[in-house]
Amino acid sequence: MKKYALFLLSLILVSCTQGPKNAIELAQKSLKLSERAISSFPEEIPRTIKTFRFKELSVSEKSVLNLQTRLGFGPYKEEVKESPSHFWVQDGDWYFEVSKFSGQELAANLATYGKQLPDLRWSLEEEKLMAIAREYIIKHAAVNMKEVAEVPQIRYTTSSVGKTEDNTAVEEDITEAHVIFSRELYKIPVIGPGSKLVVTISADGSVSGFYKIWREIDYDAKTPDVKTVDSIKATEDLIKKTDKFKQMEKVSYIQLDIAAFGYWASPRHWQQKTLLPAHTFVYSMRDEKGLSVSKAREELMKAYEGPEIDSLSGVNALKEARKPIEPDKRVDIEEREKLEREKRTSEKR
Amino acid sequence: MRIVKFAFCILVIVLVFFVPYTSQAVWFAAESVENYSGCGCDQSNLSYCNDQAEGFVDRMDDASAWYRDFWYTNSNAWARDFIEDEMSYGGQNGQDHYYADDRVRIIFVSGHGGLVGSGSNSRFRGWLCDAPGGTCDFQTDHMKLGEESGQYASPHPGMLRYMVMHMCHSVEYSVANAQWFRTVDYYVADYHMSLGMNGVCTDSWFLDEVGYDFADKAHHSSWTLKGAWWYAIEDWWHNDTGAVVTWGNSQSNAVGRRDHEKFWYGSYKMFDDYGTASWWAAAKHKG
Repeated sequence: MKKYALFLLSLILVSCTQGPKNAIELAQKSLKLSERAISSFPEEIPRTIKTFRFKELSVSEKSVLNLQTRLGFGPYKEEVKESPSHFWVQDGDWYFEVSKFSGQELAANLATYGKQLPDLRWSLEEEKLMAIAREYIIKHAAVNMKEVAEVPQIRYTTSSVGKTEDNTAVEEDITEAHVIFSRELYKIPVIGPGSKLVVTISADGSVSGFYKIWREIDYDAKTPDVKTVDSIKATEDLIKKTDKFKQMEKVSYIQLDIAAFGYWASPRHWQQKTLLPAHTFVYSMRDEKGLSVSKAREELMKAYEGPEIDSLSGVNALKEARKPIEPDKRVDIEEREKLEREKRTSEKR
Repeated sequence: MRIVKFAFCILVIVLVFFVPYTSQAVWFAAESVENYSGCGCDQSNLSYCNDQAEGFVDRMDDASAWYRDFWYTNSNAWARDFIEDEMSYGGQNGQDHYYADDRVRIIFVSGHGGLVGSGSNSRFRGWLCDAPGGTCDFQTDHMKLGEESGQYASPHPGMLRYMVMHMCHSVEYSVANAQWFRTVDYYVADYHMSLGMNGVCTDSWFLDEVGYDFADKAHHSSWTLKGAWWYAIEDWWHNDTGAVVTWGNSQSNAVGRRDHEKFWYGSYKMFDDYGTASWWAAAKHKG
C-alpha cells in the first residue's frame, strides 16, 4: 500500500514538473496559432548545425549586363544607370536591376508585369506554373539547384472591376502568378526574405518577371558548427515578450502568424556576411472579433549557444548610406497660409 | 557691349532651363507616427513607421519635379490633417486645407489602421496623433480628396491625387470601393488612387524601406504606381498583402488607370483627370 502511494505521488510530481512536450503545445497555451505558424513550427531541431559564410559581393554596372545576357537579352543598347541602392537599365519593355548591397536581381517586362492581359481569362493550373518556373530557373537563375527547395509556393495577384454604386465586382480574375522557390542547406530551411527565387507568370503563360535574392555561399570558408537553441526555449522567450500586449485594452488574444527556425537571410538592402541559425516569430494582436488592433510584430532570435559569431541580420546598408532627414515642425496657421499662397502660384494646375 | 551680350545669354539660358521647371513644381508630403503613448493616443507604439516615411521623403527629394511640403512625425502628425475642413469629426472641424490632403499631390502615411463597418458601409480608419483638442483618428467618411469642384471644393479645392499608406486594412480589396469612393463621390472625382495594405501588415525592421522602394520605382518613368507599390511591399516572406483602388468614367478607363497610371516627371499628364467616376478597379498582391 505504501509502495503504491509512493508510486502515485511520484507520478503526480513528474506530471506536475514536466514541461510541455513540444513548442507547439507550449505556444498553444498562450497564443492562437495560424495555419502558417502550425505548418512552419519547428519540431525537431538538430543539436548542432553548420554555419556558412557568403562570398564577397562585387556589384557594378557589369552585373546588370551579365544579368541581361544570362536571361537571354542583349546586345546591350542602353546605358546602365546608378541609384543609391542598385544599378539598373531599361531595354525596350524590360527593366533589369542588381542591388549593390545584396546582389538581388530583378528583371521585369513592364509592358505586362502586374497588368491584366486584355481578353484573356486565367486558365493556368498550378502544375503547369511550377513546370514553367522550374524550367526557367534551371535555365536562367544560375544557382546551385541542390540548394533549391523541392516544393515552391504560389501566390497570385488578383484584379477586379465594378460599378461605383455597387461594391460587387463585375469581373474578377487572377492577373499573374508568382512561383516562389526557397532555399535549403542540408535540409535546414533558409528563412526570411533574403533567399528567394521568384518567377512571375502572366495569363498567357509567358514569364513577365524574375526576382532573385540568393547570396552566394563560400563552401570553402572555415566556419564553426554551433549548438542550437531548442524551440521550446525560444517559444518561452516569445511568450514573455508578448505578455505585455495581452494587458492592452482591446487585445483579446495574440495570434502567432509565423513561427520558423532556420538560417536567417535578410532582405535586399542589407549587407550580410554570414548565415546563422535563428528563430523568428511574427505575431499580431487581435480583438474579440479576431480583427487586428495593431500592426504585426516580428521577433528575430539568435538560435545558437555561445558567443556571437557575427551580426545575425547583417547591416541595413541603405539606411547607413542615407543622410538622416529631420522631420518638420508645425508652423502657425498664418505662416502656413502664406506658404499656401506661394505654393499655389508656383504650381500651374 | 560683350559683357552685356554675355549677361543677356546667361539670362536667356536661365529662363529657358529653370523657369519652366520651377513653375511645374508638384508637391509631396509624409506623416508617420510611432510614439502613440507620447501624444496621449491609446494605440500601441510602433517602431519602423518613421523609417518608412523618411525613406519615401529621401527618395522623392531626389526626383527633380517633386518638392517636399512637409514630413510630420509623432505629435506633429495629426489625424485632423485628413479630415475635411467643412466637416466635423470628434467635435472638431477638419483642417485638411492647411495640411495633408488639400495641399499636396501625393502623401505617404505610416501608422495604425483599421477597418470599420462591413460591406457597402465599410470605411477605413487611420490613427495618427491628435491636434490640440482633436482626435487621434480619421475616417474615410469624413474625408474629401481631390475635390476640384463641387460642394467641398470651395474655398479649399483638393490637390491630392494619391494616398500611399502602410497601415493595416487601408485598402481592403473586397470592399475597397466602399471604403474609399465615399471620399470622392460628391463631385467630379480628381482623386486617383489609394495604395495601401489589405489585412494586417507588419511593423518590422526588415520592412522599413517600403517608402523608399515605392518612391524609387514610382518616380522612374517606366514603372506604374501599382507596380511600384507591389515591389515596395513584397518580400516573399512576411506575406503582407498590398492593394490599390482607383476609379474611371468607364470600365476600361478605370482598369487603364489601375494598370497603367504612372508619374510623368512633372508633365500635366500625371494629373489627367477623368470626369465623373462611374467605375472602380482594384487589385491585390500577396508578397
